[in-house]
Amino acid sequence: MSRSSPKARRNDVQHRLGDRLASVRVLLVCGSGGVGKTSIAAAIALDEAMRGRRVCVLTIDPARRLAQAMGLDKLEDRERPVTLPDGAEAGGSLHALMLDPKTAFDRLVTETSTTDAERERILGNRIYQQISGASTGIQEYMALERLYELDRGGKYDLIVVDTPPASHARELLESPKRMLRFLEGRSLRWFLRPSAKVGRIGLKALGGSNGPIMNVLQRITGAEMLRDTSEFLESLQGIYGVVSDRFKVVERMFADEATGFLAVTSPERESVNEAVNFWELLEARRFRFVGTIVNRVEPDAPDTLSSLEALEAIEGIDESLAARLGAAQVDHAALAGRDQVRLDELADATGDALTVSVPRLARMVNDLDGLRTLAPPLYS
Amino acid sequence: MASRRPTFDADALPLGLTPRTVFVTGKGGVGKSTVTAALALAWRDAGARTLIVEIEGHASAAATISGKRIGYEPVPLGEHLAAMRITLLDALKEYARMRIKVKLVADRLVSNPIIDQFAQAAPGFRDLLILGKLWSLATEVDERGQPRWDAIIVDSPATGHGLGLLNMAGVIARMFPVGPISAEAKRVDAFTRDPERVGVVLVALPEELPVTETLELREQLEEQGIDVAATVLNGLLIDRFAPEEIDRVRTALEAADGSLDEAATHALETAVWEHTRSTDQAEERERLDAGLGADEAALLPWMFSAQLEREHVASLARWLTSAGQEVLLEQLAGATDGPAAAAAVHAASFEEDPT
Repeated sequence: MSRSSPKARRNDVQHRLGDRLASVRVLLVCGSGGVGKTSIAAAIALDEAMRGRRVCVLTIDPARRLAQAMGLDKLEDRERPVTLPDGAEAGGSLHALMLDPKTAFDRLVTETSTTDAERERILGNRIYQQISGASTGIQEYMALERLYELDRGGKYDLIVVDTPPASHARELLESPKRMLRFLEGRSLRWFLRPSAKVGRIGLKALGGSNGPIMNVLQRITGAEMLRDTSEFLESLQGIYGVVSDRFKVVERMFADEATGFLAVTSPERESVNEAVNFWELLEARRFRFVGTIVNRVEPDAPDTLSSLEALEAIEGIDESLAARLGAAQVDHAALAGRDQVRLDELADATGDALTVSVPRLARMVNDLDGLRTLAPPLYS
Repeated sequence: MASRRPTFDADALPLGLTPRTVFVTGKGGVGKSTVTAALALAWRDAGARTLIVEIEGHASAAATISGKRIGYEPVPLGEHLAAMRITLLDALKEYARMRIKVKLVADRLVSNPIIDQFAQAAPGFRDLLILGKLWSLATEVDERGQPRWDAIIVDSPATGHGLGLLNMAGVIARMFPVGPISAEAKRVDAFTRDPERVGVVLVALPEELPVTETLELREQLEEQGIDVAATVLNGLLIDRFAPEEIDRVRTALEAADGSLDEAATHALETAVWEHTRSTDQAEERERLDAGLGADEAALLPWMFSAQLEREHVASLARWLTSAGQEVLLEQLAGATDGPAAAAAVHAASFEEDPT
């Protein structure tokens, strides 16, 4: 394909990010780490709020990036109002929330357990205490749990979710299914059987086809681990129903017309490839892909670079400076050329999806004004 | 064990580090895989038998050195250099075989859906399997009883997940105080906390958030008793322009008021951008060094290349040696006095570009 066609297509659809977002109520912003995903998510949330929508932005990342970008010194597990700059349309508001998996999990247990004794039994469990803060998978489940709550609250026109890095975007997409499979699966049922007081009555006494397998598993892990895990899973028994119901809602939410997925990438090849893979994944599931934001793109260089003579002719520029100006231009033009190729490849690979490029800035975005500067290239 | 290890030429050692097992980590997008590959080439060049380890589902360091497909068994990428990828299922199989001895039973166990679900759902089991495999690689000996690998470099997950991985053995040891898993967890935990054998290489970019995250991660690792062997500041743009020259460029842009052609305007604006960027980078570098105290960060220059090829990684490997660092520091210092020297670093990083 010639270089001009995807480029033309890009210009053609560029103005449509705003249009496409108008019908989106939940936006999941995905991409590998370090591509500026958090800033893009925050910039979109801010801009939609400025347009008069009630917006909440949720970040899953453990780093305090969003907090810094939003000018808040502390994000808790609760939504915090962000003061909008002047010029916001009436009715618009912005809230921000940083996921704290441990607090979210504790609260889920507190809200769903039926008795105080049940709650204390879970919160006091040794395994619970270790995993609720430390385990990385917990983050994703709790993010979706939090998304469920925000959505159910009905206070927002748009919820923007800044997700974990892209290698985990797939896991994020699959986590409702995985959680449901686990909750409804054989292995949990086995652990919950009253007879599964492993190590006390001995595994051989267990009937069923899984007896031998469990026997071997015990030789690997030891009876204690099986028993402890069994007790832990048993302690959670009271909340499985609620969790299962919620994840079914989240699973439906992913497939909903009003839920959009947005990829954010840098122009680096690996990052662009991840965006293409992500698009394919969503296509296969018929989820709604809003488009790809390519962040930190080197601005276009002119077709013909400046000659040293032309530079030297400028008032105040000597020969040595001209030589280095020329060298810098050559270096940056090479980067611009590379980025342009990547943008074209991406636009070609993702069909009708939107490809928006955001030029690299000299300074990092770390406040609301900085976030505002991202809006023109995003929406132009 | 250390006494059996060969001695290495101190000058040729990257980051001044004797070969060991290192976890290369940092914020997403800082160049962990590139630094992993460069460190591997540098240790190999210093005479160490070197293994690059990737972890399933994360970025691939070996691809920057070789197009070879890698799997669970180490694949040679050249003399004294190999790469492998730890996959959960293979690690589980190997572990099961170790404990059960009867291969057929072990394999059937692993392919059982209940066990698969258990491995996926059991807290931290995946991380423990990965760490356990690394421990066994680090203690593996050849037929003459020598360590099979002098250096093992793990292209690790980004900050949050990386810290989770390194902590997991300790977490599991606390969750399950007795039993074979606990014994395994304790052994692996002692290994990850042994500064003679294991360290972390933190990679940062000279930008606000990566520097902040690096300093925070370093503190957390120290609290956990895990050794930070080195910190690498990657992507350093070396200023080709003196502030006074940029003043002249700005003046020229203002005076021209649109009368310059597109090409000349782009050249001048590019210079202003590069100078602004490298001034900010210099501030972040200072902040990082201040936070690191006595341990200065090692530096790597930004590479102006369309795609990072093996040649670029090889040149990064040379920058990582003490001789390379010296040249880089000289040129960085030179850049403030007379910017001409900085051009040389850019030229050097561009020299082998195939484009």
